[in-house]
Parts: sequence; C-alpha cells; structure tokens
Amino acid sequence: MSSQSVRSFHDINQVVDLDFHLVESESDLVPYLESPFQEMITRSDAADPDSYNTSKFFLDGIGGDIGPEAAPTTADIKEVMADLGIDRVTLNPGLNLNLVTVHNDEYASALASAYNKWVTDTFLDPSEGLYGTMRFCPRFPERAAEEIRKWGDTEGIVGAMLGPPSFKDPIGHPRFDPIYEALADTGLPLLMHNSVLSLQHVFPAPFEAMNTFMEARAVGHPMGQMLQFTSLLVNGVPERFPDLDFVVMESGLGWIPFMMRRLDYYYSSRREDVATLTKPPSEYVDDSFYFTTQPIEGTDDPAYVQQVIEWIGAENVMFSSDYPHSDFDYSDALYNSLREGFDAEAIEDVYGATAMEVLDY
Amino acid sequence: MTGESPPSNAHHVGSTAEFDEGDHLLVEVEGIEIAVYNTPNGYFAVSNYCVHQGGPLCEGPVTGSLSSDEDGILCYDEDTQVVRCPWHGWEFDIESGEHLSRPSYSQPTYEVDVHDGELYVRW
Repeated sequence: MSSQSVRSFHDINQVVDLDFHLVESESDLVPYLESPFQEMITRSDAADPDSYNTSKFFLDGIGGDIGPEAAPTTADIKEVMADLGIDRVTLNPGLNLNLVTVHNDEYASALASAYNKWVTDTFLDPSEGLYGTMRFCPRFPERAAEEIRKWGDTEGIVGAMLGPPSFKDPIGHPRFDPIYEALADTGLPLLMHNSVLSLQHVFPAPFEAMNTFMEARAVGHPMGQMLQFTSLLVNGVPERFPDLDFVVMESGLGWIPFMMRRLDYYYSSRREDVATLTKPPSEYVDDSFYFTTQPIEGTDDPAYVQQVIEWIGAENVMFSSDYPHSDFDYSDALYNSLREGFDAEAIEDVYGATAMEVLDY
Repeated sequence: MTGESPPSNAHHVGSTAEFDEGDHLLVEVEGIEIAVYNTPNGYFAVSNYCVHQGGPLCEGPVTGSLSSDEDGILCYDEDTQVVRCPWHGWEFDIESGEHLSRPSYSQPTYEVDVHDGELYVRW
C-alpha cells in the first residue's frame, strides 16, 4: 500500500505499540529466581513473596477495576492486538517496573534477572508480533551492564527498560556509564518509564506533600521524566554515547518543547556548567530522544496535539497504548487528532515506522 | 403509562420482570447498543458506547458519588445514579447522560416507556 493512502486508521501499514503492560505478580518470577534467592523466598519459614513497597493513595483503585480487561496470557494479548489493530506489541513489566521499591539491592537485581527469563520464556514470539523489553537494576551498574549484554541479542528483546530511578540515582551520573556502554554496544535503546507506585522512592519529599492520586499521576510522571531527561543531557550522556537512543514514556507531550527551549535558554548563558556538551541540548533531543504518546493530553483540541507534535518532530514521537492501565489510549485516539494536520508519512512514522528503526523488531 | 399503547417510534426491548432494581439490561436497537438501567428513580437508557474512547460503558459499576457542599464539606450523594466507564473511569449521570466533571461531554440517552410491564425505548 502506498504511504499516500492513509485515509483511516486501518490503512496504516504497521502499527507498533511501544507500551503494552504485563500483569505479573512477584510469585510468577519465583521459579526464575537464581540461587540463593529462590531458596530464601520459598523456604518453609518465608512468608508469601511481597517485596515491593509500592505507594498507596486514597481512591487509587476507585471502582476496583478501572481499565480494560487485563491480558495475562499470549492468547489474550493477541486478541487485544487484533481488537486494537496492533501489529507488534512491546511487552513491558507491570509490578516489576517498581524494582526501586524493593528494599534489598541484591534481591532487586535478582528480580530483574528473573523477569527477563520469565518474559522470554513465557511471552516473546516475534512470529506473532510479541516483543518485549528486558529489565536491569541500576544499583550495581556493572552487573546491570552484564545483564544487558546477556539479553541484548535475544530474539524478541527490543529495548532495555529503566523503571523509576531512586532519588539517589541521577541517571546521567558517570557511574552509570557501564550501563550506557552496554546499551550502545548491543544497540538496545533505553526505555524510561515511571510509575506512581514508586513515587515515594523517586520523590520522597514531594510524595509526602501529595494529597491525591490525581496529582501523583498528573505531576509524578512528567516531573520524573524532566529530571531524568535533564540529568542525561546536562551530564553529556548523549555526547558520550551518540549512537544510543532514549525513549521517554508515558508522561505527556506538552512539556517536551517547553524543556527543549528552556534548556537551550540556560545553555546560552551557563554553557560552562555543562562544558562537555558540544551543541545545544535541544539538538541532542532531536538526534537521540523519542517520546511515546500515551496518555495523550488535549485530544479534544486537535490543533494543540498537532502543534506540540510538530514542535517535537513527528519523527521523534511513537505510538503507545499502555494497555491495560486505566489511562490507556485506544489505538485510534491519537490518529483522530493527527489526521487533519499530518501527511501519511508522518502518521506512518508515529504509528510504527520510527519504532521499526529505533527498536530492534 | 401502563395500559396505553406504546408510541409508534418505540422499540420493545424487554420486560421489567427480566431485571431487578440496581441491574441493567443491554439491548441493541437499530445497531445501537443501549443499556437500560433499573434505578430507584425509575428506568433510564444510555448509549453503551462511551463518548470518550468507545469503551463498553455499561460494564462499569453504578454508584452514588462523592462531592462537596457549599461549605466545601465532603458529602456522599446516594441519589444521583452514576455509571463509571470501566476503561478510563469517566463518570456519567444515568438520568441526564452528563459527564460529572466535564458537562460538555454527554452520553446519548433515550426515553424509556413502560407499558404493561414491557419496556420500550425511543428517541
């Protein structure tokens, strides 16, 4: 089909979803834990595994089950893909995103490795369009690098997932360079995905000041991404690793053109603060950063969505559904905002062509 | 309306004996999925296709709702029957179809007639 012929969502050649969540429990990973963690977790005097200290809010589960039906098996996932018109999914962790909440460095690392075995063993099947990301725990950067190299060539693994980092870990710090080096060597992009369930570990003081689940969601995701994205830029990670791609996920779009301009503004007068950079921050963003669309804000004002995506660059924006979470985007919600303002090529880029280039599908 | 004959544009969708108060009946009329609710305030019919992103609205819970009075004191309204879309939690007044926080969004609603224990919807 010619790329000129996108007249409806169904005409899009290749729909790739960057963010489809699994619904794993800690118990799912126990059979995949390495020694000595499996022995410790299953010992007769051990309680049921419940190691994630996730954040709770009043009314965070209002209605009990807001969100579409979860897809716990490959058959369920394929059914949802057919319903949503998705050709390739990127399966990302659910609970395991929140490794930062596990109060044991060794066990958190072991859970990352167990997740990688579980997800490849249980779900990944490129012939069916089922791809996924691997997990690493940044608390031991050298071990994380080893884990990335171990899974980097695995069929179906298309990226490395950094969950919400601890407030103690500005991710641009050179101590994490072994991780970025391993990613650059394996060609896996870094996917950055926050979670409100980790908020008290990412922003302990602001978490204490948050009274509602709504502010945690509305502010937590973009605030985390602004900090992490800025940390990478000002510490020169894209300068040191020019071939590494970064995918910023699930945090809205409007703040991105704002931050690009704001960082350039300060770069004009504070260049010596960031003397390892050789060009304005926004140029690194253009070259190395990609942004996923869900939850797309402002769809009742398509002109806003179009303008923001134009400012970021349609070639730097990638579709994501976040299925089955309660702020997921149905696959054509974005299309309905784009169809008036973008040509077929830009729509194809957003829905899959760019993902096919950036991730190793 | 018991005893009168239904208007000519009314579509028969079932009988009152089929579902109790608090339940709903999902029917399809001329290709439109409609949920008919049996509430303490009477029978009401709402489109099942959520105006937000097309979620299956009537699969969501029907509840009262939390709001606040003129002094800002939190209070619970048991009387207004609210259906909450299971996909994203958008909440609509079953009687008016209005979204509770953004009234510019509204679910289509339909007239419900009861004749001799039989239910009809029309628009």
